[in-house]
Amino acid sequence: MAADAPQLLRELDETWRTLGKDQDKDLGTGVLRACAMTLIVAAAEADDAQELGAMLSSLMQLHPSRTIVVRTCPHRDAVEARTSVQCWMPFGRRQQICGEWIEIYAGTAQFGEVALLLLGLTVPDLPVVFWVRHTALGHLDALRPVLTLATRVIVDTSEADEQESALDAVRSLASGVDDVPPAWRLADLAWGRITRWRKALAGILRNAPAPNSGAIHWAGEKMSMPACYLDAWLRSMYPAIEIELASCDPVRPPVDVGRIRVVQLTGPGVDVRLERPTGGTNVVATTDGLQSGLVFPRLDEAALLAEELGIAGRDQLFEAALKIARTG
Amino acid sequence: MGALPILDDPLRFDRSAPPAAVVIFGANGDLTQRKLMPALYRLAFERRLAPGFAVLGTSRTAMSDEEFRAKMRAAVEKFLEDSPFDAVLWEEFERGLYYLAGDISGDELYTALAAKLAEVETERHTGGNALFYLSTQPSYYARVAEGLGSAGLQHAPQSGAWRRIIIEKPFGHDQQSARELNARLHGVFDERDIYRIDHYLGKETVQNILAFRFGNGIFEPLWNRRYVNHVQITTAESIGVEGRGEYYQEAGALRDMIQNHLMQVMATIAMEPPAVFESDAVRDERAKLLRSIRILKPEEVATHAVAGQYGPAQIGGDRLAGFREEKGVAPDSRTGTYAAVTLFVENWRWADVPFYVRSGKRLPKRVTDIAIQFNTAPLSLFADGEPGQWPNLLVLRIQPEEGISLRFFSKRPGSGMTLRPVTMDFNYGTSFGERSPSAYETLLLDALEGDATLYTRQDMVEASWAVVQPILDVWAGSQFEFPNYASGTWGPKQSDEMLARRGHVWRIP
Repeated sequence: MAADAPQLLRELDETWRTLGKDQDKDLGTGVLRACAMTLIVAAAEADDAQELGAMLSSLMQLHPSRTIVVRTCPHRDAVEARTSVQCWMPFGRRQQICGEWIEIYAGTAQFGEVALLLLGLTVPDLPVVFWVRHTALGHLDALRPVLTLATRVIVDTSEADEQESALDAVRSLASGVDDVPPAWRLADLAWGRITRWRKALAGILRNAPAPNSGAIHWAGEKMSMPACYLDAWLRSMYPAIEIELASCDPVRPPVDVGRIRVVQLTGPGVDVRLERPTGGTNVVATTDGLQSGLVFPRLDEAALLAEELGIAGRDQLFEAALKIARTG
Repeated sequence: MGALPILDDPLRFDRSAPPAAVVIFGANGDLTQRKLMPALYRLAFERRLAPGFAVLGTSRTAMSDEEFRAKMRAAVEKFLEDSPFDAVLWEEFERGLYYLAGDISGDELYTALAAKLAEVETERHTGGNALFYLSTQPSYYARVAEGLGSAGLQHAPQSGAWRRIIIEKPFGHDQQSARELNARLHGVFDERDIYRIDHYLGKETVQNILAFRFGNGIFEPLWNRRYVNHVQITTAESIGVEGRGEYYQEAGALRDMIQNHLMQVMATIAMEPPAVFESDAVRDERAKLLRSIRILKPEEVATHAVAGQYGPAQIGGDRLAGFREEKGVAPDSRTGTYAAVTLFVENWRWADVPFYVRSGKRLPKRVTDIAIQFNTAPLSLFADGEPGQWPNLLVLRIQPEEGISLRFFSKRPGSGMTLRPVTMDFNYGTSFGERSPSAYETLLLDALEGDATLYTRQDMVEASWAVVQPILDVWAGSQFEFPNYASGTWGPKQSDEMLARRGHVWRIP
């Protein structure tokens, strides 16, 4: 159907009314409408609909939202939309929890129209989060009118092939236009991929002397963006440190496995090495000769988004790292 | 060397513990296997333990380090909840597990412990920090503390390192014994190093009471005698004493639940806002509240407190034994399996507002909640009189379904002006899909970090005993017609009568 915000909202109301009729208060059955934000997802036509749907459904259980998926279809000449609800039954409960789902199909030429449509579809008084999926990074300029709605913009450069241009795009999004800071706060899921590395290092180095040299090794020929951010974070913490950046394996693993393999930091009184075997989820930490184990489970987009959505304020550490990030 | 950079990222990192050795007394016992070891393993899984971490278990049973590790592995695999067991991680984790057999009542254990702990510190780089966890019978608490003192283990070998001791409730069996225990503990450890664990305070939803009250602006203005009619705090269990008859016979519902858990919950509900969210500031306010509870005079006990004991019942096809028929319980036992008390807080905020607190076994269901009943509207505009019957009610549910409900009135659809009570629900699990840490994970991490906010302080223990002791004294000299409630019911009728005297009724949670 052609997209019209009041009509789409009426459809959702009707769906709730229908679902509400099945409710039995005494038995505790029926549905519970849950919503903590509007989550707008910019996805490409080529993105696997089933995979994306499953991922967003699992995210909805952690962060209930009105989810609006905007699918970019370059050759489409009209905006179309449809509504549904996504429900799940928590373990041991009789009441389903449901969140609203709107799917919009539009060509890049219609983004102005999409922005107007989204204005009418956001949930009042709650945050608006705009997630630009990796494949849609190339459309950032076209998406700008839509981005102005957002309180938070999330991108993912983890799989970017051209790190320089990915960094430029992220910096441009973070800095706003003509030195006017943007209304949104920017996040990059590639930064979230190094949280556990940073946390492990922070725990080990809490009261240790500053290291003066280090190394970051990754799998894949080109430097990974998470490795780039880890390097920047370490340099922001230890300005005098020299870090060697190198690929240790030409084979690039799947993105959820993670590409960083070794982080080593040394200096007077400090000798730390975190090493992750090929494809493994266990990391061996060696601190001054003492070995201990850590688990780094595979990270999917839902887990990374959940981490970002759990942050309410500005992420100053990310902003500081982004400023000095380098790609080799 | 310049100042070290702050590597922590509070936005993204979960809290984590510094290097330390946890020394568990009673390491072969149920609590260690069911709760402590799974909680420590889970903290390791969540990357919350430092690489320099070790557990040194001790109990009377002879065991090698390897046997202890195998036993703990079996326990963790069996009792780990909501989490996968990772064999590779366990291999790393178990390298930090050690065991020492010995008799906690003899001196030799403590000398051997000092030597073993020094060995563990060298091997595992625990930095001289040690947390002593007493998972033993309460009667040994003072002895173990004194044993640690005799071996000099209460003081860390190097400056900057710490030594702490954790004990589980009950903290004494009456006011006098609680004071004696405190005095003996203080003979060895400073109060700031004594962590009295009340696992109720470690529950996420009990902590959420603080967030609810002090993180929002709209509730606190209503949180006083002007708007609150009365408060009901309920902990009901559907099971009986389940093999703990011998222990329970000495304790009873008032000592086992109300003196500690529910008084702490009440303090959390009724305390004044602390100036800062720091351990001592929060505990000062809790302690102040507990000291403000009016102590009952002996002649008031009969009208302000009710004891009950469950009798047998036929439920479905099953006959449920009465308390006096349970194993380890005397056939003429006078122990209460149910207790309800009416308490008043003597301060400007709460004067004359009754706090009804009840706890019982073999009640119709397992539930813990706090209900704040508000005064009705000053004038009923609507003819059917319903608002008086259904006053606004705010319910903070602690278990089993954690959440918050607010009951209010709404117009029933139709042409007439008929009102109907409706509830607005917040469900903790629904809004936050992530796993909540167990109370032991939270509390162990707090103790390792030196955060005593959720632990009970000596003055709080003594203040709550001061409230309960007069009731116990009167009950000790009373004759009860036990059993006085059937299993599967909401307690004795005297409890209903206690509320009826003030025109109130117990909610059915």
